[in-house]
Amino acid sequence: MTLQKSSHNRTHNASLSYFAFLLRQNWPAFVTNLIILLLVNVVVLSMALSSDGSFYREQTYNVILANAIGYAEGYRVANIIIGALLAVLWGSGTMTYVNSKVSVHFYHSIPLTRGTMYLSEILVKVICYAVPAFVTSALSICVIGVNTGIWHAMVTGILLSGGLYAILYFVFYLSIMVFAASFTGNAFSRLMTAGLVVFMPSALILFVTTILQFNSIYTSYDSLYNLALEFFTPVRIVASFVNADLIVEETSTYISRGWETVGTILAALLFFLAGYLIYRKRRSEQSGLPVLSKIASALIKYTCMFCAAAAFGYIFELFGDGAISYCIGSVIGALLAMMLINVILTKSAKQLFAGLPGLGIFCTAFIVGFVLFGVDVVGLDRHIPQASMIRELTMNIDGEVEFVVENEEDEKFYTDMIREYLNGNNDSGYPRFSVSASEITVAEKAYPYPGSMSEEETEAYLRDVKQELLFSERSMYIHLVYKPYFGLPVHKNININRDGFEEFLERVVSSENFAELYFPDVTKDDAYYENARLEIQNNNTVEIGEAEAWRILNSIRNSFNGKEYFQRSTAVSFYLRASYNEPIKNGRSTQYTTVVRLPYYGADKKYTDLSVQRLSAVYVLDRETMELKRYSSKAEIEAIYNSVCLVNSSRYNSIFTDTDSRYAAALVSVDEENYKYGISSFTVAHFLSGQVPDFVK
Amino acid sequence: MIKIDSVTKNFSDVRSLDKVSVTVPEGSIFGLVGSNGSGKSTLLRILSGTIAPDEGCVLYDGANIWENTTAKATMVYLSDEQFFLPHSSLQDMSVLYESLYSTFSRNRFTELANIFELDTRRKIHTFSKGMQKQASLLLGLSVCPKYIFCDETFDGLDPVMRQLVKRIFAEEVAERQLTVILASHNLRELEDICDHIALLHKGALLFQRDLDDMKLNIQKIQAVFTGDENDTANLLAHMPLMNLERRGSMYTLVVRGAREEIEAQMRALAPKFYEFIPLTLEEIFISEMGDRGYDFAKILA
Repeated sequence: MTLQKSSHNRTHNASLSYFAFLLRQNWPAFVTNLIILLLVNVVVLSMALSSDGSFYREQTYNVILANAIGYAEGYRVANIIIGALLAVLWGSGTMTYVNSKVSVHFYHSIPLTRGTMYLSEILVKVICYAVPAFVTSALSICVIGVNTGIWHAMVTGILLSGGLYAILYFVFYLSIMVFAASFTGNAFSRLMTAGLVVFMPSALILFVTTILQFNSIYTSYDSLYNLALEFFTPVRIVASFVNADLIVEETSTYISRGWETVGTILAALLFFLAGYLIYRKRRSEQSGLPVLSKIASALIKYTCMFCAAAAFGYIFELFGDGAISYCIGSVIGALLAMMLINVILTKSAKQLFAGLPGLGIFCTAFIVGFVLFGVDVVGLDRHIPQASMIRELTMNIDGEVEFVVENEEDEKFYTDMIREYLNGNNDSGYPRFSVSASEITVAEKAYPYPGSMSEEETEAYLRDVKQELLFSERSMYIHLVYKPYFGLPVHKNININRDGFEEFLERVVSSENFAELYFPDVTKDDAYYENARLEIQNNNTVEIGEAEAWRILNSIRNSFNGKEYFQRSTAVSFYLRASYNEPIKNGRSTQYTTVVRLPYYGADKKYTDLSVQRLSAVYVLDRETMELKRYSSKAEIEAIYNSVCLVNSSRYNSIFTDTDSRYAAALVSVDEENYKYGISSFTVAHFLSGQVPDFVK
Repeated sequence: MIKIDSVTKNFSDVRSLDKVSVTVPEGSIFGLVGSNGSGKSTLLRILSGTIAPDEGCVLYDGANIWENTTAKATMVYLSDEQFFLPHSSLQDMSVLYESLYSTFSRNRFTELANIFELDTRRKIHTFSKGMQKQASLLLGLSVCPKYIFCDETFDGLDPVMRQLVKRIFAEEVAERQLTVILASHNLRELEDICDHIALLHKGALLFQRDLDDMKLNIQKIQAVFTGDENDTANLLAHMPLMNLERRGSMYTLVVRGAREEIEAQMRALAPKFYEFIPLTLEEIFISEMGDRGYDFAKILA
């Protein structure tokens, strides 16, 4: 008993002193991490802040605070990416002794358990990153404070939590590297396996996205396919099973949410645990060789082949443009992956082509899958979940307005309407769409919008070539995200013709949450708005004072109250932006949130005059006679300008604007900046309902 | 005491050890002999807890070695290929050993570094093969272990250094009951140091004996007989012969039995001349193996 006790103490000391030894051994990693993080969080941040004009002292405190918060959030994401990269770098050097016979015999003979060695290796790597990460996060608070004068709890919180998240993601990616190390036999296969774990979900998404490119009209996976975000794919996928929302969140929002944090921690623990269990069972005599059963080898091999097939198919399709190119690329990718894995697993070039029948079966299955998805045999493209299965419906109209449909009745209306539409049932009593998405696309392709031409060229173009363009239908798209109670969200993109769509738009506008989001509340305290500015095309900005901003905002608010909202639109690229305090209070760093863009016209004559001055001529086309008339006097231009809205350009035009389709106008503007180069261009406009000037008729 | 109990180890389809059972007494120098591939290194790795046996177990004072840090803290395994941290010096390695073994003696390290005349600040990768062997031994002995397992340790050492290492082992055994297990395919390296010996062949333990016992029970005699060849052969047929060679009238006999007993028999045979001469370890093995029906020359080939 006595012997056992004393031995136990000795073992305990050996574990600690070995850990201390490893810590000392890893000082180069510590210093490297510190230098990199100091460069990013202190040096580069200082340079960026000192060169950013938005921190001039003339700015109000809240504007500077909002900018500082923006920097803090940006650096949080940057630190996470750096943490992930460093995890891959240092993870490559973790437990390398399992790859060599000589070293594995030494390490497995010393008086430490495998668990102690495993844990020590991980902890040392984490400490070597965590300490510099935390220190530099704290320093970055000082950097922002000194450069901007902002010492705010929110900035501190974002940067410190950013440091913690960076550590979390470092640990997560380290866990993948360690997991890969536990059963691979060399550095290359370790990296490849880790890459496989990380990018396999991306490959799946790539596969689905590429296939959808060929035949899908309505289903959109764009929000899933974003290589920058896919860096975090494994966590996103894991997290999506917990909460379907997470899959469509922006990265910065995504990482700041509780579920993702818990998901990431759990995933990291799972990888560490799996790695330990494999390592514990790993035989020393298998040093330098992968520790894989036949099933695991096959799984890895075919997973790699799948990733390579998806990636090569995508690349070949980019250059070859077509399904055949995709299939050829996929086969080549699968073949190359098979050859590579064969060599890695067997360490023999003689096995390069082992498993050719398997390759044949894989390629056949891959192409069959491609075809099945491509022709949409299961009707996935037109599938809309039942309203009872939907937890939440988000709707984005023309990229302009986005809101969550909270009312159950509205939710059912939109869900059933879209389903009926996608299934071709136009007699269901729901609004009809006169022009299909594909027809709109064809029309736009046939008449490309001229970028810039001289006025003479513009007139010739309008008279002789593209008169149909002026009457092209006003298209808009609806992006719907159906979030089911369980499973992945369903994204649908539907292009429609705006005509005959009033019922839909009226319903949208009349919903409570839409009004809350897009109609500034007239009862708000004036102090809610602190700053406002007008932005003009070419990024010219007119700063206006608080009183001016308030006056303009009031006039806009008034026009919101009622039908006027649907009949106003600015004809040129002026739009009003205002910053306000509330987002900052909510912890969001968005500044200069666009309060309104839509009905600027009429809000202030001074700015209307500016718009008119920019127009050199207006051409009006009569739909019945197809006669094109030119108006160049300022009075005529102003009268026409006061009666039109722009079409096919949601940036300048309200999607809710009701127009008269008998006449169309081309506003030929001469921008001062462009005028120096003799360049003019035109903008298509439609007359507002009931406001066509008499001299045009 | 180390007890190896029915240890079996397979590498894929190859049986490296087959139900090997050996007992290693405390404070002994135990020689593991066998040809290449006989399983010596595998047995040492199992002894050191580096690899796990498929069947059987290794017990240190009754405790299983596998993942047993208490037992591992008492022993050092010196592989045939030495491990050193990349770009490390002996000094650096000593820090690692010191962190791992509470018994590590800094004084002993310095003392041995002086004996081996190794520069502790020099990078080990710049050492010659023999010097790296010495460095490995130096570190292992500095731990002051209870058990030390050496795999082909004398390979690459010059004769002077071999004798030095043997002397150090002998001193440590005498002073603090160190148990040394030496694996080698070269019998001559072991004969002047081992007190116990075990012979492995194709993964099986052919025998394990105390070397003194073996020497006491086998005698080598040179004798000259005057009679004709047949008469001499008839006379010698009654002896417990293990080996017999003849050159003219000079006979060299290896016989089993105590010296006094054999001497009495020789006197009874009345040779013209006879004398007892020392046996080499190899001769003892050849005789033992021949006695058991093995061709020893082939076993150590």
